[in-house]
Amino acid sequence: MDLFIQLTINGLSLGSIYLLLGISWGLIFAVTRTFHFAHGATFVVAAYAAYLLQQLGLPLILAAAGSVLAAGLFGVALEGILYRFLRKAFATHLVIFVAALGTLITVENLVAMGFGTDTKPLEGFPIKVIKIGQVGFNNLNVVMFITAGAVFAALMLYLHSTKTGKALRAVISNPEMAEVIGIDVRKYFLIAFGLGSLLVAPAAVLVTIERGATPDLGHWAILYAFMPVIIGGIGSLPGAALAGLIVGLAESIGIWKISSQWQVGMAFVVLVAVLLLKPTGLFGFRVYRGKI
Amino acid sequence: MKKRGWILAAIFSLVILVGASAQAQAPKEFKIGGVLPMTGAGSWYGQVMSGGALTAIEEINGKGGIDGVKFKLVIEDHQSGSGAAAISGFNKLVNVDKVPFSFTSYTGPTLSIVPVAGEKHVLLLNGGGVGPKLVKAGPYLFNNRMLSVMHGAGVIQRAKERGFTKMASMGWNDDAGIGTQKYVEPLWKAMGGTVLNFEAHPIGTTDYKPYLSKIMAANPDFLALWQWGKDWGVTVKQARDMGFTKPIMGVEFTPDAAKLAGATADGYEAVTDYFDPKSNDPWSKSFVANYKAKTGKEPEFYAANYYEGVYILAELIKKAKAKGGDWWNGKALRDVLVETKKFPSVYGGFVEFNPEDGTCKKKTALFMVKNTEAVFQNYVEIK
Repeated sequence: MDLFIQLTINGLSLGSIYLLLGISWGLIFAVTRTFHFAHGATFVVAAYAAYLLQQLGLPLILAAAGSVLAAGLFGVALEGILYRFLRKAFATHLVIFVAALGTLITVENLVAMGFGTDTKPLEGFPIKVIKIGQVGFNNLNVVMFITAGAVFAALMLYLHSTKTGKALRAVISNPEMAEVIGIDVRKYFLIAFGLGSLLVAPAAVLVTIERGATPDLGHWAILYAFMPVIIGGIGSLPGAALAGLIVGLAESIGIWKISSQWQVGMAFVVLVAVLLLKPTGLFGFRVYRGKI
Repeated sequence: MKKRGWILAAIFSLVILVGASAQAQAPKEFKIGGVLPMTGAGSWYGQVMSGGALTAIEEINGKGGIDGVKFKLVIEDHQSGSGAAAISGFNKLVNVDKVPFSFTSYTGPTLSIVPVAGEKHVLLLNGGGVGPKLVKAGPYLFNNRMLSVMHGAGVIQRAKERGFTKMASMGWNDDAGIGTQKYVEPLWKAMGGTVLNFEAHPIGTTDYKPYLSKIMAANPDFLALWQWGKDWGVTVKQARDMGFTKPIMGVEFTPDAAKLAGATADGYEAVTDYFDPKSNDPWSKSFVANYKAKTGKEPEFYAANYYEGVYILAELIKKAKAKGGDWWNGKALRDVLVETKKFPSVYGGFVEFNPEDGTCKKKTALFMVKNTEAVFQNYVEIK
């Protein structure tokens, strides 16, 4: 039983990161319908921005704040410079996907050239081990869970209570109608990219504190960004959030009685199971219609 | 007129033949290969391995090369473990660059190219891969680092000295990790120990909590790590952050992993190749200084192995050339290596090759980590 509890706690901590990845990518995808594969690059930019700012002498909290800003600006730049240009040229979804993939690879390699390939730690978070019998975790795991919950709650409040948030939901619901009623869809695409990129930065900082940053983290991040969105249902941010937690728990508890080597496979088991049973995702709709 | 034409043709052909054979014996440059992990999760290895080799090449070339002929290293990337990429890169080295010698790395990629090396008579020197399958893998493969099974045996010897009986272990899910576990398990049981569990994981994993959870639940006396590169540092950090307080021992120490683990690495013990960057050995000191000047970092034993590998090759070239004949080829170089066996090591002392199986004997030691530094404890005689 101790092992089950331990794996559950691990799963919640891991799921919290996947939640942040999922809602950040899910927001961008729901608003712009862009398969933003370069979101992994935003994750890497955020991680290394935090590292760099700390190396320049900033305390962890300010370095983290700086990384949020850097991620947001990077996301806006990607939309403004890359995706908007491709859309203007009537690029197909495949072309946009390939461009995004190329951006991810380029950024990871530039980071490797600039910072080296060794793992970069983020220091200054005092880890306090919490032991309950044989079960062990630490305050960072608790912070991950609280951060994920707080960020998700703040996002939902923003989307439902502010004018900009409501406009974003309108674009998600029907971009053509939104344009007709006077919402500048191109402006809200920029906002979506900026906001979605801001939201991925806390995940990048927390993962870097726990495991260190390497240039190839982007590939891992994007995989666990779109998986919760597909499982939760495209257009449903609560779905993406819940799916993120489900994937984290599945990966962790799923190996309770079987070899740990199947950990990553568990996420795909969940993905395939959901796609077979409900192809539109847990909270998705048959005809694409976003609902927050 | 006709007779003069024949004579001229004969003289002309002779000149070409002599010129061609002179080309074969005295290359304009010593072009050598390196199949290294330049991208992917293990790219740190590629940086330090190539850094070590290039430091040696710059030293030798800076002194005019060998009899005026300089080295050139052509690197191909196996993308941190891809056998297909290794074969593709190695084929290019052999067929396009025509190298008679190549460095190699990682167990999987090395095993992929060994058959081609045997077929094309290209001498391979591995300074990084540690898997047991590298023993007697092929007649053209030699390893100038001790293999993981030897280090693993050293770890359990140390565990026995400390009075432990219940072992749990984690390792790479490949020949190096699984092979070490398979080798060590019967030895440990013969010593009276028990194996509670072994968790295999993908190379470069960043989340070890699932594996550590199972290990903590088993309540071992100690945890043995068959991991290399940065993985041991991440594992140690996450284990301590989960409240695992039992001793952790492994077969690797790397400075960047120690830095990542920080204070949590204190007390971690490793049995590994004994390269001490603070050694007073003159050659070690000059290597450390030149490597630092080139890369800005202090070298560790991976860089040292590939640095020393270039000097081993330089020795092979001098001896093969002295023998005469057609010497700039893999077979001639290999024959000299088999004959000579023992070469100076930048660790201090010598590296001695066993031509029967391609393994080597070098200094091995027990280190303990304190303040992110590996502190030498004692030499280890592997039984």
